[in-house]
Amino acid sequence: MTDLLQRPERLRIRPRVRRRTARRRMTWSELATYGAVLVLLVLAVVGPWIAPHDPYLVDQRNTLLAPSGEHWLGTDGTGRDLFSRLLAGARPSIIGAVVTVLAAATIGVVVAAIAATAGRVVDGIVMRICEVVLSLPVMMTGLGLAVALGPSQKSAVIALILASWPSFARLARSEIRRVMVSPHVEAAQVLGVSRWRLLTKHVLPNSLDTVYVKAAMDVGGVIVIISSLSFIGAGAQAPSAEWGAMVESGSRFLNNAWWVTGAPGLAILVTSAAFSLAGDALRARLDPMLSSSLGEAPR
Amino acid sequence: MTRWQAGAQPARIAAVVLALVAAPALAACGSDSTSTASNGASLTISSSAPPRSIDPVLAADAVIDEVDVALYDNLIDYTADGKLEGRLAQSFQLAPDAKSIDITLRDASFHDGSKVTAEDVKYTLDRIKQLGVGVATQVAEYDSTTVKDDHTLTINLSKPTNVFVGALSHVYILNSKLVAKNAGADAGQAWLANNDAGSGPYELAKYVPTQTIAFKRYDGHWDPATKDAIAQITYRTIAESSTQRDELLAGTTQASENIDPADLSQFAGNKKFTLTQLPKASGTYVIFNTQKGITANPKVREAIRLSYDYQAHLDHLLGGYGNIATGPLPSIMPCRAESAPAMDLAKAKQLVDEAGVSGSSLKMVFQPIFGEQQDAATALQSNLKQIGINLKLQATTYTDYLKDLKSVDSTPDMALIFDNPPTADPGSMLFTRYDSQFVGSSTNFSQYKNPAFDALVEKAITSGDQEQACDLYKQAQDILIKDSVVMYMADHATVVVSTVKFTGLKQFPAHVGWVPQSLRLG
Amino acid sequence: MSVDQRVATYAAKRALACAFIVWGIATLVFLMIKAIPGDEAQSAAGITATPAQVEQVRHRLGLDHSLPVQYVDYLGRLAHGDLGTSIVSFRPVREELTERIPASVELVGSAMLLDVLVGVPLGMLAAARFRRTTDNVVRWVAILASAVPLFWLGLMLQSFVGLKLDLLPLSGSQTIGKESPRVTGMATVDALLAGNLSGFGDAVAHLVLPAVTLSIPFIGFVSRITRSSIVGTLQSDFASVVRAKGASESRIVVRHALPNSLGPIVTFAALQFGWMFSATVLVESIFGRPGVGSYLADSVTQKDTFAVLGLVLFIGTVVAVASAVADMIQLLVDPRIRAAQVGAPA
Repeated sequence: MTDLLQRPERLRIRPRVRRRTARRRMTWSELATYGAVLVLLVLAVVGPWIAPHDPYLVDQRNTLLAPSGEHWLGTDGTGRDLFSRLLAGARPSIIGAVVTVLAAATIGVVVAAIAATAGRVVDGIVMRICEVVLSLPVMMTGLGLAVALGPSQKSAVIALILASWPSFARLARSEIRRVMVSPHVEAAQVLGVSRWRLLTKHVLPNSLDTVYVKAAMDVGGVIVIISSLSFIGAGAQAPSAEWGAMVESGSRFLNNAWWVTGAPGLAILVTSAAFSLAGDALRARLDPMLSSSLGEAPR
Repeated sequence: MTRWQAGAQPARIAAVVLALVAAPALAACGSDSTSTASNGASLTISSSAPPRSIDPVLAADAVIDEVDVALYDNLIDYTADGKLEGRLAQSFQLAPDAKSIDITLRDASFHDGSKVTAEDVKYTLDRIKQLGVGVATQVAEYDSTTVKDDHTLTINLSKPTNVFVGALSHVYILNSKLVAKNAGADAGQAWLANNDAGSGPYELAKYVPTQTIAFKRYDGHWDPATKDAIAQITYRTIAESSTQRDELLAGTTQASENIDPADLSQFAGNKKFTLTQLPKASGTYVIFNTQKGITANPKVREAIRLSYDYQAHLDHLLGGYGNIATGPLPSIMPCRAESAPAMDLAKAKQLVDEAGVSGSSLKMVFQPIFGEQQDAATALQSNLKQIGINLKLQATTYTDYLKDLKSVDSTPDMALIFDNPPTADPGSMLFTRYDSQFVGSSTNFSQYKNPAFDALVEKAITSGDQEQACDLYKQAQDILIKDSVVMYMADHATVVVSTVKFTGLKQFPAHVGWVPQSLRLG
Repeated sequence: MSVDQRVATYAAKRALACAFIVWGIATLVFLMIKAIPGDEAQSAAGITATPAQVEQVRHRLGLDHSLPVQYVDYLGRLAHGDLGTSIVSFRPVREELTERIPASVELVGSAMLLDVLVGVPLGMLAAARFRRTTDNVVRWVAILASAVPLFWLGLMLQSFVGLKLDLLPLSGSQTIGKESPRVTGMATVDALLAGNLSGFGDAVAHLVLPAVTLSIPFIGFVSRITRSSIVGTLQSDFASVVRAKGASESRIVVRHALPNSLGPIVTFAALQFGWMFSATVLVESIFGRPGVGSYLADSVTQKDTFAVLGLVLFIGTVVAVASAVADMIQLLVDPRIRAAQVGAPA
C-alpha cells in the first residue's frame, strides 16, 4: 500500500549507500521471506499447469460449493474451482506487478541518467515533471490513465508504469549526482573517459543499490494497487482470474459464500506482505543505513 | 435502450427497494379524500441504483422512466392489459398513410398550475429531436409538429410507421415555459436533471441526487383514477440487499425490488416476507453478427444455441425467478412464435464440424456490471470450448456496444445483452432489431438482412388490421427462429419482497420498471 | 527581514509551488483526455448524438481549434470551476461533486481520528521498547497493515461484523427515519446540530466499519512516524539528562518525547488527509456511502470518462493542497524547521 498512499520522497532521509563488504549471515526470518517470494514467483509461472481443475471450466449446476476434498476452496458463482482460479490468477496478479516495477525502474533510471548528464535545463524540466506526477497518488494517476486507455489489465499495467517511473527517476538521479562528484569518477573524468563510458562503467553500477531496494519494496504495494484497479473495474476484466477481479465478482455472494471473496483477497494480502517483508529484508542487507530510517519522521 | 444504459451499478448492489409506509389514517385515503401526505399513506421506494438524472429525454433508461412516469404525463400509454389508451391525448388518430398523427389534448395542468398546451407537446418533441439522446431513437421518425390551436396538433413523421404511436408512451410532456425560463444553452438538460416540469400524478417534493427522491401526490391531476393513489412516495438508496432486509425487518421499509437473485435466498427462507413475481418485458439474449465471420453461417449460430444450459441459467443465475426464454419476443408480448431451446452438445459439435469451423475463435462482448451477464458469458465460454469454439470475452458498456454497431465490421461476433421491446408493440422490436434498413444504425443488433423477413414485418407495421399484423409477426419470428438469428436465453421477472399487502402491482407493457401511481395499500 | 516576514515569504513560495503542482496535474489530466482513443466530441456528446450535435459539442468544447488553443481554453474552463459534464447524467461534474464532498470529509476525518488514536500509542510502545521484540512486532504489524487490500478488508468486515455477528450496519450513512435536516451534509454533524442524539448514534454506527477499513493501512504509517520521532528524542542529550535525573523510561516517552513529536505527527495527519481522500474510491462504494470516492467508482463502472478525469483532477488538487498545508503546519509547530526554512533563530 506504500505507493497507494504515495509517501512523499521527502519523508525519507536520503540514504547514503555504501555496499557493505562484510556480509552477515542470513537469518531464518530472511530466509523465510525470500523463500515465500520464490515460491510465489514459481507459482505465478507454473500455476495454471498445476491447477487441479480447469480454472475457467464452468459447472453451472455446482455453484458456490463449500470447500471440500474435491474442491479445496469450494467453487465460485459459476461453479469454477476456486483453488485452481487462485493458482491461475497468480500470474496476472504477481507478474503484472513485477513487470510494472521493472519497467518503471528501467524508465526511471534511463531518464535519471539523461537528466543528470544532459544539463540543467533538461534536468529541471524532468524533475518538474516528476514532481507533478508524484504529487498525484499513484492510484489516481493509474485510474485516470487506465480509464482513458480503456479498462484492461494491460491498461492498468501501462498506467501504473507511467505513474511510478518518476519516483525511481528522482531516486536514481540523486544517487547518480552523488556518485558523479565522488573522487574516483572525477578522476576518471580527468583521464578523459567518455561520457557514456563514465556513466555505464563507473556511475550507474555505483548508484543502483537503492533503486534495487526500492524496486523490491515496491512490488508488494503495486500488487495491491493492480488488484484495486481491477476491483473498481479499471483493470483486468471478468472472467480473468486476476485476484482483484475475483474479489469483485465474488462479492455478490458475500451473503451465502464469503470464501469466494475471502480467498482471493487473502491471496493478495499474503503475497503483498511477503514481497514487502522480503523487500524490507533486502533493504536491511543492502542498505543498513536506510533500514533504520524507514518511516522516519520528516527531518 | 433499457435499464442497463445508465444508472447502472455494479451487480452486487443492483437492487431497488420499494417500501410502503402505512401511515395511521390508511382508511381515510379514499378517492374523495383531500388528504395530504401527512394524513394519507406514504410509500418509500429506495434504490441502490438511483437515477443519475431525472430528465425525461433519458426515459429510455428504465430507472429514469420509473421516476418520470410518476412526475410526467405521456400523450399515450399502454394499459396493463396491453391496449393503447390516450393519456394527455383525449383522442389520437394515425393517418391512413401512417405519416402523421392527429391529437386532441385534454384539459390538464402542470404542477405550477399552467395549462398543458399543444405548444408544450411541440417543444417536448422538438427538444428530443434536437438533443438526439435517450428516447430520440424510439421516436426517430419524428419530423415536426403542427400546432392548430391550444388543444389540437398534428405530429408529422418522416416515414410511414404505425409503431410510432406506441413509442409516444416514453415521451413525457414538459412545461415548455418553465423549462425555457431555466434552460441554459443545453436545452434545459442540467436543470431538468434535478427538477420537475411535469403534469403527472406526482410532483417532486424533495430531491437529493443519488440518495432520496420524494414524490407528493398532485391533487390537480386530471385523471380521477390517481386521486386515491398513495399520497407520498419516496425512493431511497440502499446499497446492500442485507441492509434492505434489515430495514424491512425493522419496519422502516415494507418492500424491496430488483434484488440480485444471488441474494433472494435470504428473503425466501423467512416467513415475514412475501415474494411476488411479476413477468417483465425484458430478457437476456446473445446477439450474433449475421453478416460477418463464422456467425454469418446459420449452422454455427444453431450450434452455439444448442451448447447452452438454459435450465441452469434459470435455476442458478436467476435463482429460479423468471423463465427460460421461448422465442425472440419476451413471453408477455402478444403475437409470439415459440420454440424452446434445449441443450444438445453432441448435435452442436456435429454442426460445428459440418460447418468446418472447429478450432475457430469468436469474440463476445458483455457488460460486467451485471452479475448475470458475467456468469452467463463465462458459462457460454466454457461450453463453447467443448464444441471446439474458442470464445473470447470482452467487457463493454451499453454505450460502447451501440457505437460498435455503427458498422458491420465493428460489430462483435456475439454480444450478450439484456434487451426489451422499445414499446409494447411486437412490431417495435421485430422491426427495429431485425429489419435490414436498420443495418449499421445501432438498432439492428444482428445486422440482419433478409428480404423475406423485411417484407413480412414492413407489411405488418403498415397494416391497419390487427389480426393480420399479428399473423405476419408470427411468420417473421418463425424465420428468426429457423435462421437462429438470435439466442434467447431467459425472460426476466420483477421480484418484489414485501412485508405488507398491497395491490395494483401490475406490469405495464411500456414500462420495464413499475408504475408507482398504480399501487394501493391493503 | 523579520522572522514574520520570512515566514510570510516562505508561505507565499509554498503556495506558488502548490499552484504549480495543481497546474501540472491539470496538464496531466488534459493529456489523459487526449489519450482517449476515438473522437472526443463524439464521446462527450454521447453515442446517440446526431452528427450535427457532435459538431455542436465540438464547437462548444473548442475541439475544432488547434491543441494549444484547446489547452488554453481547457485551463480557462477549469479556472471557472468547470470540471466537465458527465456523459451519463449530462450534469456538470462539479455539481455532483459538491453534493458528495461532505460525506467523504466525514469519513476521512473519522478515519484520521482512529488512526491517530491507535497509531500514536502503538508508536510510543515501539519506541519505548526500541529494538526489542515489541518493536519488531509493531513493525511487522505495520507492514502487514499496509499490505491489506482495503476493498477486501471492507467486504470481510461487512461479512463478519455486519452479517455474521450483526453488530453494526452494513451500508448507508443513516437508518431511514433517523435523518436530520441537511445542513453540512455530514450525517453525524447534522444530527448534533439538530440535537438528535439517537440520530447521531445511528450515524456513528454507520461510520465505524468504513472508517476502520480506511484507517488500517495508515495506522502503520502513523505508528512508524511516532516511533522514529520519539526514538530520535530518546537518543538525544536532552533525554540523557532527564534520565540522569532518575525519570522512568515511560515517563520520558509520555512527558518529554511525545510533545516533541507532535509536529511530525500533525504534519503527517495533514498529508494523510489527501491520501485518504483518494483511497475513499475503494471504500465508499462498498459501504454505500454517497461520497466523492463512490462517485468516482461509479463513474469508472459507467465509463463516464470525463467525470473520472474531472474527479482525478479534483482529488489531485486536494492532495497537493493538503501537502502544502502540511508544510505550513510543520513550519508553525516546529521551531527547528522554521530555523532551517526561513533562517530564524531557533
